[in-house]
Amino acid sequence: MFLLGAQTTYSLLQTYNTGTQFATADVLDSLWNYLAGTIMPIAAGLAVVGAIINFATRRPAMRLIAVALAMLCVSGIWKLVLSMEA
Amino acid sequence: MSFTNGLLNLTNWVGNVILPTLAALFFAIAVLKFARSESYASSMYGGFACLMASGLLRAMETFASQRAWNDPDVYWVSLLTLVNWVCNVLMPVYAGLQVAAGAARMGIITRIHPTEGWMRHFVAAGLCLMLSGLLRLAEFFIAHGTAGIP
Repeated sequence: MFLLGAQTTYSLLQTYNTGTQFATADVLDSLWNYLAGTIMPIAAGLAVVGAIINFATRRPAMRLIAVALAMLCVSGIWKLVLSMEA
Repeated sequence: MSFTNGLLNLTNWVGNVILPTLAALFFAIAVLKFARSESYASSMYGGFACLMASGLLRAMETFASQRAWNDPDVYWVSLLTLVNWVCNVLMPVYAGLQVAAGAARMGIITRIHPTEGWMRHFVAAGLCLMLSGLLRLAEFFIAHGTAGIP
C-alpha cells in the first residue's frame, strides 16, 4: 500500500520542502506531524479491530488496547519522554 | 492514490464491512460451542464487540482527548479514564446482570444452600459494586503495613 502511494507521498514531501536553509528540519518536522496526527489515529482503528479479533479468538487483547490508546496519545507520550529527560 | 487514503479506506473496510460480517460467524461459533457445553462467552462477546468497533474507537478517542495533545499526562489520564469507565460504568451493569442470573438460577434450583451456584452470582455482583472500596481497603493495608509487624 505504501509502495502504491509512493508518488503521492513524494508529492507530499515536496510540499513540506520550504526551500530555506532549514528545509531538512522543516520536512522532518512536517513528517513527524503527519505521522503523529494523521497516520497514528488511523492505525489506532486497526489496533482496535485487531484487539476485537484477538478477544473473540481467545488470544491476548489487552496489549492491543494499550497500543491503540498509545497511538492516540503519541504527542503526549513524546512530551512525557521530554519531561522525564528534563 | 495516497498512502493516507489507502490506510483510511482499509480501516473503514475492515471496521465497517468485515467485522459486522464476522460478527455473525462468531455468533454461530458461540451457538455451536453452547451446544457442545463448551465455553462460548468469548465468541458471544466477540460478536457483540465486532458490531461495536466504531463505538469502541470513538470511546478510545474520547479517553485520549481528556487533556491537551502536548500534556505529558495525556496517556496516564487516558488509562485512568479507561479504568474509571470499566469500573464505574461497565461493572455496575455487570452486577445487575449477575443479580438477574442469580435470581434466575435461584428460581430454577429450589434448594437454598450456600454451596449452590446462585451464591456465586450474588457474590460477584457484590464484588462488582465494591471495587472502589476493595481498592481503598488494599491501599489502607499497604499504607499501614509500611511500619512492619508490631
